[in-house]
Amino acid sequence: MSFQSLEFLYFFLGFIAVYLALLKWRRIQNLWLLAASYFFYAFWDWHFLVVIVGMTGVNYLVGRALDWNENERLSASSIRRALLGIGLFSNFGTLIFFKYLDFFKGGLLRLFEATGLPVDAILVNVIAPIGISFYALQASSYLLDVFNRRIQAARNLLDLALFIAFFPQLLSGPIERAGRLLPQFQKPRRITAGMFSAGIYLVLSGFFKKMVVADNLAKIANLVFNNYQDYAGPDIAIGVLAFTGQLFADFSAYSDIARGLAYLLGIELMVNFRLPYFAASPGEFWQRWHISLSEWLRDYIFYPLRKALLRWKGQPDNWLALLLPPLGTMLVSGLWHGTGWNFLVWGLYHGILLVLYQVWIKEKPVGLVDPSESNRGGAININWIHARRILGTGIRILAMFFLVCFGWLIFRVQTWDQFWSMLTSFSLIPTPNSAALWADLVLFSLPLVGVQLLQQWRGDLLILARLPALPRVLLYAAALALIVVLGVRETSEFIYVQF
Amino acid sequence: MLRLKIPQETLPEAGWWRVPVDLLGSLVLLVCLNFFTIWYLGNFTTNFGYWTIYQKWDLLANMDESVDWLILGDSSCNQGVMPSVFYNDLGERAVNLCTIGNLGVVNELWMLEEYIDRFGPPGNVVIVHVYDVWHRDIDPVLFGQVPRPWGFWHQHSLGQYIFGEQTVRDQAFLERFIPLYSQTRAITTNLQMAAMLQDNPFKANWHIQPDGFLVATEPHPEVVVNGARDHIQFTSENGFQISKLNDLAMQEIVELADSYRINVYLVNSPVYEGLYADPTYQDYLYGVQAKLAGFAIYSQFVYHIEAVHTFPADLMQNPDHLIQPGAEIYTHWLVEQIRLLRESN
Repeated sequence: MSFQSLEFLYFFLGFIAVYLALLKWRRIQNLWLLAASYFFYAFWDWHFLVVIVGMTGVNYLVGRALDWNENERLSASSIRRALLGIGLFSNFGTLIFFKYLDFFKGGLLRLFEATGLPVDAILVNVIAPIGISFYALQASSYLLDVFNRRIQAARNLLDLALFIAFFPQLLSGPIERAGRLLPQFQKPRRITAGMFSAGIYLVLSGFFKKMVVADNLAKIANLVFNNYQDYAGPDIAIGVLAFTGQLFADFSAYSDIARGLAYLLGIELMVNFRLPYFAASPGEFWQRWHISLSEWLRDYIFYPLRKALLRWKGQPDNWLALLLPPLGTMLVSGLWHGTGWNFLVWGLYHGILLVLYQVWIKEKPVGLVDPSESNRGGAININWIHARRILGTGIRILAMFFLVCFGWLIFRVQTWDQFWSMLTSFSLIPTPNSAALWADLVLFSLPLVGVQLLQQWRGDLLILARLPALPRVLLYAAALALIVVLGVRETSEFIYVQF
Repeated sequence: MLRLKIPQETLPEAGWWRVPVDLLGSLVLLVCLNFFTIWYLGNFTTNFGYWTIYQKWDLLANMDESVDWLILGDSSCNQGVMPSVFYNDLGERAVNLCTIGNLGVVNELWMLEEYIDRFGPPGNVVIVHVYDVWHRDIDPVLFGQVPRPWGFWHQHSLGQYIFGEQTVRDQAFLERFIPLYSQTRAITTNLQMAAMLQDNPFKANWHIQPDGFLVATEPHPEVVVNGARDHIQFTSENGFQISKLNDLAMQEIVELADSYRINVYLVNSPVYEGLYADPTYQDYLYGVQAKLAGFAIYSQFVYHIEAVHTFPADLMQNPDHLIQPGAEIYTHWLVEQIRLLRESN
């Protein structure tokens, strides 16, 4: 049941009517929300329920055990570590089994053949439960936070089940933290008009991004990437730019819809994207792109790894502590996306960018402007310095955007030959296809670029929801009309749902 | 280094009044826009089929007196048969209500039925189709574009049969009432042309005379020659068989002709001489002629004009669509054929 489907519309309208009627009865309302979440998940394949319910049960039990301070034996450090290990093994084991089974399938089949065990059916027919990459990380963060005593374990199984299965964000995040989301399920819902208005805006924005921008840009990107041998010159760059726009529009659309639906239910989910293509450095990019995953990786891989290395080596600027955390973290990020070599190289590429940037700012900590310049005095000079700073930032943003695009080229290609072929056939000499491809790229990117420039300028992601009534309603009607007229009808699944 | 501020998200201050304003306001505007689109596409669309169906049914609705000749058929007839020539040659009034081939003979049947309801049976009906229309399954969804009250097909023969399925009715509903959804290509083309200042978006792309004749002026010889190649490929790969709905609709027309004593003339459309000369075309046409002759054979009032008038490419827009000088020649020829037929009977 995709967000864009009519089934989802009927499902959500029916669900929210009852949900709002149950506002005074939190427990029943939570039960209704959980039933709806499981129904939503089972609609894809009821077998998936077994996995999510099993994972919820294990995490609940391990969480409670980790939090059992009264029992001295259980609160001992080694026991707690063992319990955490069991919980994490269960979560990551499930994730790895389903997600990376394909990768290991060949070897496993040979092994089973050799031993004569009849397990072919399991190996051949198993499919990864949708969204497992997201809720496995979310469940693991819960255990880690309970283990580190950042939060208390959930007393009520229903609350934890909701934390793991909350349907708006179940398939593609944002990957929430228990410290933020669990308390919202534990207290009565308070839905304000501001939340409802923001919810309407985000849902509309999400559908616009997905159906008008992402799916139309996908046509250009697919054309170029799937027939790369037929394209050359600037068409390659247009294809890469289209994919760059598509990926952002598609993934942020899912986040917008998920967050918008959550607002309508009185739940606040974290912001997952903050205009990532305005980033001026690799570090800033990860503060703006898929923030929930970036923060997860930062808190549970980057920081612990760096801390461990610093403890081991002592020096804060030792090269291992400089190199390993970003490279290791980004490799895991690549691996999280899949086992394809391109994801690993993409992760490594971003890791290298982070390392190089760290080295570079160590060399030149103040940035592009020499501080002595500001001592020369005079208004003209100050304006000149300001202009140079703005120009410098603009150049950095463009350079970072170029680097990110290059990363998406690695991310999108299927083979090394394709990567090399696309890279070497790029030039600035237009082909007969260039004008039409460019026109489509501009047409479908323009609304997104315009809105983002406004959002960045005002520093406000909800700037359009804050417009006065008349322009706001006109804008909403125009967005709806464009969705109906230009929106791609064939339901295409969100890209990140497959991860 | 100047670093851009990372934008934040803070909820808007809002009262509850805002929610219905946002939801209902935008929906009302969308509905208004949709109604504007219905009117706009009926008059200025780039979708020739949509425009033709709308205009011709509108013409039928606005006729205030009966005519001697009802000219029905597809787009080759629309721009090929001039009612004014009927008046000049026979002194009898005619109206051209031809639309497009994908509506098939069902459209002719329904127009004839509506005409009979309003004015009584016409004296004469001419039906002109391109040879490759007879085999086509009609697209019932296109009837959604007919500007008549919803469900108008219930009053017509075969209406229940054609619109029996809910999905067909749903699609026709979208076609009729939600052009924002169903006519996206035409809307996009209109928007693109307006955005690039290529054309006045409030100028009709085609012109229909008050008697229903569509005036085409520019010949496209290269399209004619290339189109003929496609036709030859079609005729070399297919044998003729009339589609079920066209067959049923023709039988209904034959019954009407016999019941009301209406003279119905089944006529071959004009054709490019290069296409007519092709043997595979001749083979295919032979099947069509035999079928049409079959309709005429059991009726006193249905006539089949077997002759074919061919044209050079410079009088045509494609292998079966004429420009105005060609239409004049074709209509004179057609009137002459009818006169000969009348004399022989």
